[in-house]
Amino acid sequence: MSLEYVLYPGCVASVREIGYELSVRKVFERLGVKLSQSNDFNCCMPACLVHSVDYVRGLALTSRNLAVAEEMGLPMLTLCSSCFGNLSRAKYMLDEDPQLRREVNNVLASAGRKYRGEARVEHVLTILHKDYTVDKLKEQVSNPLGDIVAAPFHGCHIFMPAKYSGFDDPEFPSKLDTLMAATGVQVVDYSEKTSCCIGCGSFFGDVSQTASLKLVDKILASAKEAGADCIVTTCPFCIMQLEIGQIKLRDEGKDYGLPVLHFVDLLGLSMGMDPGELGFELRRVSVKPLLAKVRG
Amino acid sequence: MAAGIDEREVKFISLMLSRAVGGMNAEVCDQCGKCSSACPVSKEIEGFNPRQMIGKVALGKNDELLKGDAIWTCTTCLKCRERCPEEISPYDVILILRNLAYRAGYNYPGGYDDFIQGVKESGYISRPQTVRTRDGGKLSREDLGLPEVEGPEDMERFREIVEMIVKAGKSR
Repeated sequence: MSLEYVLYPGCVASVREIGYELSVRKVFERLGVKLSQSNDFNCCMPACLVHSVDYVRGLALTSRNLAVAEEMGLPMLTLCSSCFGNLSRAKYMLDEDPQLRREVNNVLASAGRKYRGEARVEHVLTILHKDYTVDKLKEQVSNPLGDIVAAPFHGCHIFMPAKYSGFDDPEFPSKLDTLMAATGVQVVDYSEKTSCCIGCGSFFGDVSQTASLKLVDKILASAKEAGADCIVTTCPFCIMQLEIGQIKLRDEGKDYGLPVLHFVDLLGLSMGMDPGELGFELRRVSVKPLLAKVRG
Repeated sequence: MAAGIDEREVKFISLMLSRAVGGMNAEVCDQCGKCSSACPVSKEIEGFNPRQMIGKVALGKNDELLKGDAIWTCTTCLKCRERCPEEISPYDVILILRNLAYRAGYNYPGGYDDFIQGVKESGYISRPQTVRTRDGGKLSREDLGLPEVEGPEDMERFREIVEMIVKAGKSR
């Protein structure tokens, strides 16, 4: 089995969550998955930002990335659930609506590009689940993490709306749980499992920031109550929100001390990789209590 | 119709509404409230209510929505779209209202200008910088052995499209 993708960097992962990008690259290298590079991508133009002020041109700049990947003839590996959601959304809309596709391609033509409908958009999790497959992943687990109780936090844009990417059931998601279970951890259920970190709304003034902190508080409390040692996410933005929120909540006298990892971090640990290869010194909330359970 | 939107904009509005809302006819909304009960923002911010927003659109009270903060408070999580039994999508309606407010020259969060400026400069919202380790040190992509992130190769043509987006807005 030879798997190859072009890595789509994205802003959050390549700028603020470089420890996560490192982790993805190292783990995929160990799995024998080839990641190619392009120097021609641009920002995914999140719907919450650019499509919000200019729908068609925003969509065109999102789709420019699909055109670049098509030219390379490789499926895209996105690191961030929002990049995945935006690119999947653009692909779905252009594939479903010929008139919109013509309009978008008119804009793209001025940048010398054309979306042909062949791009494939994937995410770290979709690749591990469908392309690499869970069974093969289990064979790579040399150090099962049976002492760790982990709370899955799915985030929003990896599967909503279901018809864009078709990856998982947004109401009762299970694929992250299945992948986590493959590493040997005890996966816990908790009430805020499918909540929103408000990452995509946290920029826009005090109102969103207040909401964001309240929700993060709820998510952390719910995971803690379920007995979790850590939260495991699918998205670098969720990691950031859950970590930064946790640090802010210390000022209110709430110290959850819950490490927040991406699934690949957990996978790397279960494959016996060194925590140094996984960028853990960049985690804002210490992962030391968790590592004690890995080695113990 | 809101003051400050001319006939060209009305045409734009109609196209946008028919496009993103698809077969939606606001009369189809039963006001069941599943969107609001799914909405994470509604739970925390008093007065943010997607069900009421759809109700206002149905009643033609767009002006009130366009001038208010509520449309900018949505986090675009898409839960409302997922749960609506009539496949009306408050999310898409909110995106359209944002487009209209931007074009009509009403208030929008200042953060948008910063994002668009960042994209115009480099193709990305922000450029790689050093990040802090938990111990207070600093690490760059290079320190971690990560390759440089380059922007679009045809930056000038890319910028022209971004410039058109800037010009679509009226206020600033």
